[in-house]
Amino acid sequence: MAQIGVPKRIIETPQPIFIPSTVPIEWPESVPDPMVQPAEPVRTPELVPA
Amino acid sequence: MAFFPPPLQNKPPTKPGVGMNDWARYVKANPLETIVAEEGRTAWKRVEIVVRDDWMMLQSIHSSDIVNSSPTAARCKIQHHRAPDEYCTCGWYGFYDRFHPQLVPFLSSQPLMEVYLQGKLIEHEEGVRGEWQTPLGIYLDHPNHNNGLIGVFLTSYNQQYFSVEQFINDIDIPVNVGGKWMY
Repeated sequence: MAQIGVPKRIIETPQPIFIPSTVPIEWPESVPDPMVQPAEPVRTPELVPA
Repeated sequence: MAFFPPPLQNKPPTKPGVGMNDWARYVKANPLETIVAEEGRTAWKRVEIVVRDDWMMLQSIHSSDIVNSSPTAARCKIQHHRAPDEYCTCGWYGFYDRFHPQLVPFLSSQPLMEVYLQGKLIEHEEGVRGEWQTPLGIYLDHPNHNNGLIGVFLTSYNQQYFSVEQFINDIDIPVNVGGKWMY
């Protein structure tokens, strides 16, 4: 613990500004986008009793 | 007859501002004024070079928190409130004076760093506590640091030699070597 003396006053300064990146994120073709809903629902194969 | 030590309440009182818990007692007696400023302020601190297998990172020698090159928020690990707090000891620490006696170079793995503190600041007598910390530069001023092209770090944990180029590549913070800035 650093010894910096007794507190004297509180200063409220603005928060740092985070600039978002302008480069779009490229989603690879092999991985499906979870935010895009598929056109047809995926159907599971029906179980046929032997 | 058995001897029992006196309870802790019989300890002599410490000077205000010396112990950790005395800050809350001092602030209760002397309430702090709050002002609003447009810009934060710079401060000085010592950091520790932590060497992993093949890469390096920085830690604060007082809180052991990892120092990033981007603005990082302080968090209170004691009471989990917004840091810093006037009744707590949390926050990013920094000294006003670059030549403060608590900042003298002791280990070559503990370089001096200038930071920019933003957000909620609490000014103390000799230093300041901040909410957001942004590293501005690291000063390799220890005699073990080679003042030439290839610097040498003698770390405290595993004693190995590293170059300044690898150090800059790992931590991504500007480094001042012998008055010359290296990026």
